[in-house]
Amino acid sequence: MYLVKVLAIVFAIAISLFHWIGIALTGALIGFFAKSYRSALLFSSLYAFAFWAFFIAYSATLGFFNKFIGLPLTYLSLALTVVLAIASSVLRVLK
Amino acid sequence: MRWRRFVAVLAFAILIYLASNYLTLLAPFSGTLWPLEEKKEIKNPYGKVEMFYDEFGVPHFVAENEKALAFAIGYVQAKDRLFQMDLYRRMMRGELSEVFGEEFYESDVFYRKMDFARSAEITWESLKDSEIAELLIAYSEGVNHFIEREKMPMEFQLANYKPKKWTPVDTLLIAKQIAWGLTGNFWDLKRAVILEKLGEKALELYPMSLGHEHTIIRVNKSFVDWMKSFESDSSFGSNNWVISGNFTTTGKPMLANDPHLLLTVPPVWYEMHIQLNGFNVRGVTFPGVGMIIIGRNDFLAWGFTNVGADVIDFYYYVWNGSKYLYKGQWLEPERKVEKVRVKTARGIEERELVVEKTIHGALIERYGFRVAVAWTGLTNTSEALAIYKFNYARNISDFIEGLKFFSVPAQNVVYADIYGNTMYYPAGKYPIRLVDGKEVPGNRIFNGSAGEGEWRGFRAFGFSTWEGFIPFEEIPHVINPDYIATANQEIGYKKHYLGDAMYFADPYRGMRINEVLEELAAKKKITAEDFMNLQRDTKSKVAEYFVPFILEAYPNMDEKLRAYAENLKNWDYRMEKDSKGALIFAVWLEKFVNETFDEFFAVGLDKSYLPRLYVLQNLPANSEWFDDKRTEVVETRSDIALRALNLAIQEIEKKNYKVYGDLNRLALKHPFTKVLNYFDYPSKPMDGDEFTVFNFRRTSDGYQAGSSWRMIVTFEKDYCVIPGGNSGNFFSKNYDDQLILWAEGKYKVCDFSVRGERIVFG
Repeated sequence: MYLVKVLAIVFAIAISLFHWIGIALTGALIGFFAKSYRSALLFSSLYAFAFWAFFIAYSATLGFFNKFIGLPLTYLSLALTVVLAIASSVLRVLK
Repeated sequence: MRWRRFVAVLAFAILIYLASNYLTLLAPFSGTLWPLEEKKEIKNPYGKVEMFYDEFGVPHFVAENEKALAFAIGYVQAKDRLFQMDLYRRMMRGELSEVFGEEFYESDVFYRKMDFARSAEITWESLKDSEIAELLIAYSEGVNHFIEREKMPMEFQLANYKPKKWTPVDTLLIAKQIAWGLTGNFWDLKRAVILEKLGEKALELYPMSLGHEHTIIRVNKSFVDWMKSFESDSSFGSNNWVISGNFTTTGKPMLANDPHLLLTVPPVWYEMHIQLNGFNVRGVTFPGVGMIIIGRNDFLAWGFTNVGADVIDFYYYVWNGSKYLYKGQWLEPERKVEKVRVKTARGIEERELVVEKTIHGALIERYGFRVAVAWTGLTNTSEALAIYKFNYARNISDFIEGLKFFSVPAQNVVYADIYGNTMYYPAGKYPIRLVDGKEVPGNRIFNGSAGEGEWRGFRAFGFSTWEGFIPFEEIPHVINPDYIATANQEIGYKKHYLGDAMYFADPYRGMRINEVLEELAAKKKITAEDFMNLQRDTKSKVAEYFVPFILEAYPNMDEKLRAYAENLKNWDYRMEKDSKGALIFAVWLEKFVNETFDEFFAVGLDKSYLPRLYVLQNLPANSEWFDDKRTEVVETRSDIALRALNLAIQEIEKKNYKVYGDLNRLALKHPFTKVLNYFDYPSKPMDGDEFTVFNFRRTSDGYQAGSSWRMIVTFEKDYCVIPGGNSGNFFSKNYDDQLILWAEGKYKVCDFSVRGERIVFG
């Protein structure tokens, strides 16, 4: 069962690379698999920060770091990612 | 519990609904805003082309057939500058308000009434059988390949629209836009307003007095004020010069050019190098045009400055209802109703607009005043063909063949080739106006009902035959001069009217260039470094002539004023950012002009109506223009100079300026600056002003202008730079990588070596 959970989350993260629905799905899965609301919120926000940081690191390898890091829209992107992941994790209410 | 679930799901659904557009735009990795992938292979229906981006983002195209090349250029220009291309196209078609809202509605009204789009269509019809027709089509297909298959540049996503397909007419419309920007001058109308407001005495400020030949109709100033917001800035200038191999260290001629245009983000020019079957052409073009406009090829080089000639006229009519009188006949203007789509808070609104034309040109009406506008660009013009011929010319004869096709904007063309030839030819179409069979100047509003001042062989929005224009061979030109410099000053041609003094620039830049070239030629053989030094020359001839006016008033100054004036006594007249003298002079000059011509402001005429500075320089010290009529005493130049210095010092102290660079700052804005200023170029203190060879000027409406491209061709090692970067994509490392080079008067080497990141079309 543990492996299934991990694979489901990995699958959802992979989707995140191509569409924001993947971020919502990852957040929701974290919510479902979490033991409490508190851990759902914690892990989903950690996931969102890590995913966004990975994106910035990848952009740095393409030479865009300075442009990305100074652009207000980049931080709006962070905020949207975090809010989406957390809001999705709250769907554990359906559990 | 159920209601909690319901509320959670509902809240989530609402969040997704509200945020989905932003998420599509900004989600990490998948957001359409992020430029994370770039195609390296693009399908080209016409054949193989290899393209290499060098370290400055300049594309080097290597091709074996012209159509394949044109397709690749279209694709790459769209990739780098599509938003800018679309912006110019929308402006000229009168479609800005559809995307950017109500603020642009008046602009749309003007551009639609002028119907530039129709003139571009006519031009396309006239070129359909020419050698460039298939290239224009292939170029458009390249642009459309990008539009249809690739992620749109950031600006489209932020403004939330997708550009329409590109057509050959759009390319020709871009050319019309540039031509209008350089020759769409409303001085004839302003002159009529000045006569009405200030009387004939004002004519002494505008050399080439017409005596009684001025217009007798009353001009509506509100109309002219509305029109002039769409006028070209007549104070834009450019420099170019060419020097024979007899005076250079290499024994080959050398050529320099720096056209002065609006400084925009991204720059107005796009740099590229094409290599077609081993034949090289390198230089700059306007995004939307697939050929090099200024540059060099394997054999020759060419550069432009604007002649500034009067190629626009205005006609009034006697009206009877909707009909106008023309040579005894009552005619209905040609009318069509257009729908202007305007973005408003309530969504898109469609507004009907009547576009009218008379036999002379576009009919413009505002505030109860109506004139028809004839402009040499409102017909079939062939400058695209001329530019094509320049690109592939192999000698001076080929090049002159190309010049014959140059219509609008008339340009001071300088030329040099590897065989040692040099040339100056102010090519273009110059109208000859006749009234009662006698040639008259065009700086007036003509009686269209009487058929006055018509241009024979010109048919607005139709096909012109040009027989009533100065024949190409008669245009004064010089083949193989030792050296020649142009800086938009008067050509010195007396046989026909080309424009009065207000059509041409003050002579200060031209004076300075000639002065330096003469000095250099007398002393030594000239090098590329000498040309660079001249292009970055900041010495102001204006200051040299006007500072003595300030010092004339020295005996009447108090201690404080004298302390400031001391800065001017030993000043070298260089407009440099660290100079205190340049700061005092720049602020003083503005005050001096305003205080001298206060009569203009008193009757509601703004700075755009003021005479040339050279006229002010040459007014006698006791001219009545220096007298302030509001005071009892009679003021002279010295009194006004003193008053201006007082005002200048007040402003300098109030704004806490220390040196010229505090006032003279580079601040180039992206079109989105009002919403998001992050895309603007970095600001920095600048050298130069509008009268120095190193040209940089702040305009009163917040825009900045100056050298939009600096090029030096030696035929051994060439140099160039643009004010910003070649890429219009904010995330590109070439977005603003040449800005500092340009601002500091430095250059990059411009050669024909093909190098860099490769993209294959095939």
